[in-house]
Order: sequence, then structure tokens, then C-alpha cells
Amino acid sequence: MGKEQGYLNRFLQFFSSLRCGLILLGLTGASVILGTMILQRPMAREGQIEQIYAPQTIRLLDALGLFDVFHAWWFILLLGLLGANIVLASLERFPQAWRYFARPHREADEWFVRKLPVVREVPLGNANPQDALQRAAQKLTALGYRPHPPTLQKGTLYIEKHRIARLAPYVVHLSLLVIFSGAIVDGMWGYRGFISLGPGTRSRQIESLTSNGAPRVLPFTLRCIDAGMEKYPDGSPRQYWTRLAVEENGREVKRKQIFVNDPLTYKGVRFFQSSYGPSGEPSQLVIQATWRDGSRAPVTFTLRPGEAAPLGDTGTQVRLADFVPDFVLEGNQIGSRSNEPNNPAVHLDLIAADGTRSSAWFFPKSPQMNFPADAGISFRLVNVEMGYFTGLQVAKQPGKGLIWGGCLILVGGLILALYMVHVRIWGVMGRSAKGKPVLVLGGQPNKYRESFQERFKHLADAVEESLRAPEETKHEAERPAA
Amino acid sequence: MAKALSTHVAQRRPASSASWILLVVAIAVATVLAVSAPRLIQSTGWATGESFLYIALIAYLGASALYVASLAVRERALVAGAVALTRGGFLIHTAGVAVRWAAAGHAPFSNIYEMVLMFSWGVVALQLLAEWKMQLKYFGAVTIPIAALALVLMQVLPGDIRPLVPALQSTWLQIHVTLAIFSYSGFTLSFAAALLYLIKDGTRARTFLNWTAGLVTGIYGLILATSVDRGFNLLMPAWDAAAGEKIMMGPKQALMVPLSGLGWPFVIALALAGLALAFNVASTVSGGSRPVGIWAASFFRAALFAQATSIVLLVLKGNSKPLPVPEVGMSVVVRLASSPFLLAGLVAALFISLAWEVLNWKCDAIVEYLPHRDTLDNLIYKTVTISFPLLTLMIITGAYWANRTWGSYWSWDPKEDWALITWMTYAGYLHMRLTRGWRGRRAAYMAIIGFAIVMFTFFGVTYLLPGLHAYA
Repeated sequence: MGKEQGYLNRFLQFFSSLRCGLILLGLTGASVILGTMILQRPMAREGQIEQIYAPQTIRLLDALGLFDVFHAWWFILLLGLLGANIVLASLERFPQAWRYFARPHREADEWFVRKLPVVREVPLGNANPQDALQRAAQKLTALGYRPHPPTLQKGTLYIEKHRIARLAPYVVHLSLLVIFSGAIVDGMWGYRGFISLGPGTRSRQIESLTSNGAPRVLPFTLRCIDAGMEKYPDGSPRQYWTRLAVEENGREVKRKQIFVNDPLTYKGVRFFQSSYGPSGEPSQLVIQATWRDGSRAPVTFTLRPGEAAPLGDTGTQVRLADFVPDFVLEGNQIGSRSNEPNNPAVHLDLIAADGTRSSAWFFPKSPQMNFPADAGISFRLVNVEMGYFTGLQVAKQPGKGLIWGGCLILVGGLILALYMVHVRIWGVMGRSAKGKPVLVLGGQPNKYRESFQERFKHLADAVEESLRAPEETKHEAERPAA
Repeated sequence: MAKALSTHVAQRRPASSASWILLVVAIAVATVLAVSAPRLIQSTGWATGESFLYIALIAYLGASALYVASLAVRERALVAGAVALTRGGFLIHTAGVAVRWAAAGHAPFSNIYEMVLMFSWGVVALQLLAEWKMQLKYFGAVTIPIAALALVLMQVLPGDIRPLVPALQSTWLQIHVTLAIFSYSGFTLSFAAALLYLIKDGTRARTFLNWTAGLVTGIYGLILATSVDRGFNLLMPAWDAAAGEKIMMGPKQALMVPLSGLGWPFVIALALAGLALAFNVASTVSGGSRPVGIWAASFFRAALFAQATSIVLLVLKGNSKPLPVPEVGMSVVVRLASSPFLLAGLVAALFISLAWEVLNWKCDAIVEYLPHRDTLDNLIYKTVTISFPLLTLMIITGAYWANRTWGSYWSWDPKEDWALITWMTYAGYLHMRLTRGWRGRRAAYMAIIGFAIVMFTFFGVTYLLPGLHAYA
């Protein structure tokens, strides 16, 4: 029993130590470095990992979770341990810091003051031992260091500044915990997703961006009124925008034009302009049909996806069966290199008046590939208007407030920790080695002893000078005040 | 010999030797200006950003020489000359920034070229501030060479003005980048304090040589492994001058051009640095055997010459006439600009080798001139306490901005990760210093490592680990 207690205690002691904290910090840093050196699955393109790493390496790295370090269980555990270390370390040291608030040590004797890290014996000069303390207190007050009055009455000159600086480490560590908790809240109850909308279309379905996340349904409907981009003279994108409307129960409740950097927020869900481009689907094709044997005059017709168009007055109906914007043959599969109509391929279904069906492929950029090659009608693409889509990132972050609140506390805590010093100065009447009465001043900063020594010297010099001044000057100095 | 000469000069005729150095540097600066100005004006016209930066660079190089000389020869005239050159260079540098700003129509914060420009500006600005507020003129011996090095690096970076992509059109860009520049510049100052501390502390040059030789061996080993083929030709990516980018054969696979025989100086530099490392480790293990140590130093000095030769040959051959590539049966050009990482590695290796030379030289006059170790140690800490909150704010504003742009405040993007690693390194330093009372050499080494990480976050991530933060 006793032995177990010992192990537990020793474990807790180690776990709450700075050494353990720095080891955890180092391990976390090393994992982060690994995460930037090894291509991460969430960042990689399809097939990129297989292209770069050998199969056995992939198996090994996958087993170790090194392809998704930042979501691996051991990385989360590491962060958790770091958080626990911060909590334990703070809990262990906090009572000590709290003493400065609960039981400030104000009254002192000569022995205590002489043990302080910075001490100075100030000769009384022309002051008599009865009021030397008062005169020193007046001088220090004038310099902005006001002694604590009740303590002064009890015979100890006690000055304290920036006691709050003692709490700085706890404020900083608390802020990190607040930021961690914000991230946890977001991880548990928040989500990130993607919506792709064409102009005039509606959706409430969100594709999940987090791995193994299911699609979500919004509690309202999002409608894209229209979207577009502006370009610089050199053709590079200047701004993307989408005009969005939010509909609830069939009624429009909100409308906003969003830009990159300027999202729409509704019921805690935010929509960010993320991408914009051709969807790869045509919105309208203008096609000219020519009869090879010259039996008819050429006919021009307009075709929209999903709609049939009459082929002049022949009674034949034409439908768009397929459209490939940037045709490429990958093996014997038809593919598209991009969503831009660089090398379109058009597949038409023709339904004659008597119900016989035929089909035709034609390639405006490479007509030698047209199929069937001996068809009686040849087609020419006069114009194609491509449809476009606007891509919106969707995010719900219920922990956002905690994150930014934690950041503010962090900055405040750093200012406390790095720029504020808890300074305490005591002064009591004592005797020098020769037995003469002296004022013994002593001080203690919680950090930056060098600069405190200078400040202390400056204060003690000023006190010494004020004590050396003849009694009359003191009365003169007091007269205007009286 | 340099040591003997300088102490001799310092003892005998301090005033005349100082004005002698001042005169030589002034003449050198004036000559370079006079020779290059007409050509510069011809090629770029009056008062362009580039010509301003060129003049600022020459002023900084002159100031660097004077600052370093003023450490050895205590003479007011040298320091005054260095300060004057720095201030003049800074004014012209500022004008160059202003011209660039006006030409681009936005603050010069949008790509790596502009970031290096502003980083160099920030370093000089903080140096001038430190001189004015804290009388830290001797920091200039480290900071101004770094600023000059940044301006040299800029010459090989693509500097064309591109319009702002939509994500960068935000006030948060200015806030985030301003914080980044001042925090990185601040860490440069703490690096300067740490380096000067090590000089003052009399760090054994032998200990330092282990690190230096190891690093140089590593860098050259990496270059040999990646860029030198079996026929000892150096491989450089083919450059498409019209498009201003590398010619790619496939995704992430550039067309490589063999520069015949240029691999040899790299092999020799690697071999010499490796020998120096081996001898030096042997000397360390054997407890400081003098002849072995002298061999190590000689090998390393030879390696220094081999490094310089490699760089000179690379610069001469790197920007060449078209070279034939047997693979594709045509001639293409190469440009140094296409391998900034190779260059950065070479320059870093040369820089750290020269730092060893300075430590080894360790002129007594310098050691005597520098303030007390505790003062320098305190300055490391002080500069970190200024830069660390700036770094924290930089990360926070970056996260806030990313959240406004992409709806995610942290994406584990390489740049974010490395900023976090930098933050953790300095957080570790502050813990050790405030809680454990770490001072002295360990703290100085930590500040130097921290600065190396800052530089990697700044340049390395941009070239090696591209991600969302693709602009710079």
C-alpha cells in the first residue's frame, strides 16, 4: 500500500514537472516536423502517395499513422498529455503563488530585511530615528512607490507593485487550455464541408471535408442567385463572388453577396467563397447541321442539356447524349483533361420521325475522329456556353469563441509574464555594524534582478539624500501642502 | 596573422589605422557605385526600386566591413562611418520599398521576394532602433551582414510584380505580415546577441568546428545526393526564360541540365569538410590533441576555399548560354534563380564556415571590446521577450485571417506547423530561462537554434514544403 502510494506520488511528481512538460513539448514538436516532412493524406492528391512512396514504406507509415499525423490517436494523446501536464504543473505550483494574495508578508523585522536579495543600509543623516521612516515613506511616495499605510504605522515600510504578475504563468497556461478546449468543442460539435452550386440552384446537402464524415443536411436551404469572377488586365483572378440567399420554410430570410475573405453567416454556419469555375457541363450549344449530298440547306439549332431540339423541318429530334469538354483517351476510356472546352467531344442522339434511333459523335477540333465517318449529316459546333459552379466552404465552429478568447488571454498573459514584475520593498529601523541607528531597506523582485537592482539603487539614493537634507528643508517642503 | 596585424595596429597607431580602413571602405563603395551606376541606369532607368536596392546593398556591405573592423580596432570614426552608411542605406532601402509599393499598388507583402525585401528592411530598422535606444552599435557586425545577405538573395528571386490573389486582399495581410517581419527581425537581433555571447565567452573553436563541419558536410552531402550525377556533373533545372519558370517533364519533375564537371568542386568541398569533421572529432575525443586539431583546422580552411570556388564556378556557369541536353535533344538555359534552395544551402554553409573563422581568429581586441557576458545574455533574453509576443500575435492573426478566408483557423499546413515549432522552441527557451534560470552558453546555443528554425520557417518551408501558404 505504502509502496504503491510512493509510485503514484513519484509518477504524479514527474508528470507535473517542467522536465516532463519539455519532453512532451519536444515530442509534439518532433511529430509536427514529421507531419510536415511526410506527405499527409488530407493534403495529397489522389494517387500521389502511391507515386512517391514504395508499397512497403506506405504499409509501414500507414501502420504508424504517419500519413495523417495530426489526426492520429497518438498525436491527440500527446496533446492531451501536454494539456494534463500543464494542468497538473499549474495545480502544484498555484498554492504557492496564491500565498502572495491570501497572506501577503508585510510586516518584517531587521533580520528578515537583511536576508533579502537586494539590501541597503541608509544612514539617517539629519533625520532623527523617530521620523526617518516617515520621511523615507514621503520621498518614496513622491517617486511613485507608496508604502502600505497600516503596515507603516506598525513600523515597517512595505511597498508592493504588480502583484498580479505572480499569476502570469497561470494566465498563460490557462489560455492554452482554453484554446485546447475550443478545438475540442469544434472537433466534437463543429463540422467543415463543401457545397457546390450552379446559378439558380438550391441545396441543403453538405459534403463533408473531414475524413469519414457523413454528408450533412442544413436546417435551411441555400440558393445561389448568381456568381462570377473579376479579372486583372493580365487575366489572373482578382475576386470571386457569389450572391447567396438563405431560405427557410420557402421564405427568403437572408441575402448576401460573399467574396473571398467575406463570408455569409447564418445560425452559426458560415459559407466561404472557395472556388469558382466551369462545371464541365455545357449550358447551351449552338450546332449547325449540313447534309453531305446537298439535299437540304444547312440548319442551325440550339441545344440545351436534357431538352430535345428539332432538326429543321425533318421531323427528327436531336438530344445531347454526352458532352466531354476536354476530350482525351486514357487507354480505351474516355476522359476529360479539364473542365474547359479545349477539345470538346459532342455525342448526339437522333430520333427520326418514324422512331428509328441513331447516334453521332463529332469533334469540332479534330473532325477526322467524327463517328460514324460516313454519316449523311455532318455537324459543326458554332458556339458553346459552359455552365459554371461556385464552390463554398461551409464551417460550423461552436468553439470559435473559446479559441479567440483564449488567444486574447494568451496575449495578456504573455504581457504579464514578460513585462510585469512583482516588486516588494521592505524598510525597517535597525542598527549598523557600529551600532548606529540606520534605515535598512531591502527588496525582492520575482524576476529581472539586474534591472531591479538599478531601480532599487536609484530609490535608496533618493531616500538617503532626503534623509541627509536638514530638518528645515523638510518643513519648507511640507508648508505648501499644509 | 590577421590577429597579430590588428593588435599591432590597435596598439601602435589606432587613429590612423581607423581612418585608413574608413578610407578604403569608402573608396571601395564609391568605386562600385561609380562603375555600376551607369550600367544600372542604362538597364533599369533612374530611380527604380532595383537601383535603390542595389545602392542600399553596397552601403550595407560597406557598413558591415566597418562594423566588423570597429570591433577589432576601437575607433569612433569607424563606428560613426558604419552608422552613417547604415542610415544612408536604410533611407535608400526605404525609398526602394516605397517605389515597389507604388509600382505594385499594394504593400510589398505578397510573395517571397517582397518578404525578403521587408525582412532585410526590418532587420536594419530594428538595428537602428537598438543603436538609438540601447547603444547596441556592435550588434551591427552581425545584423547588417544578414540584411546585406538578404538583399543578395533577393537578386536571384523572381521579383516580378504580380497582382494580389483574392485571398490576400485583406487588411489582415498587412497586420499578419508586419508582425511576422518584426518578430523575425527581432529574432535576428537575439541571434546576433547569442553569436557575440559565444565570441565573448571564448567558446572553444574546436567545439564549434564539430557543429560547423558537420553542417557543411551535411549540406554538401545533400547537394551531392540530389544534384550531382555519376559523371560528376551538377544537375540544374532547365529554365524557361519566357515563362519565368522551370521546364517541367511531369508533376514535380523538372528537366535537369548537366553542367559538365561542375560536380567536382562540390565533391572536394565535401571530402575536405568530412576530413575536418573526422579529425576534429578525433581531436575532441582524444582530449584536445594539438596536431590533430591543427590538421582539422587546415582541412576546414581548405574546405572553405573549395566552397568559395564551388560558389564562384556555379555563379559563372549557372547563368550560362544554352546548354545541350541529350535527353530531349535540344539546348536550354539554366538560371540560378531556379534553385534558390541550392543557393541558400551554399550561402548558409559558407556563412557558418566564416563564423567559425571569426571564432577561431577570436581577436583579443574583439573579446575585450564586447560588453560583459551577462549583458549579452540579458540582451538575448530581452530581444526574445520582444519577438516572442510578436510571433504569438503573428500566429493568432494568421489563424484569424485563415478562418475568415477558408473557415478554418488551423489546417496543419507546413507553414503553420513550422511557425508552431518556432513558437514551441522559444517557449522552451523562456521556460528554461524563467523557471530553471538557464543562462550562458546553453541559452546562447538555444537562441541560435531558434534563429535557424525561424529561417527555415521563412525560406525552407516556402521552397521545400509548399502548402496553402504558397505565396511566401
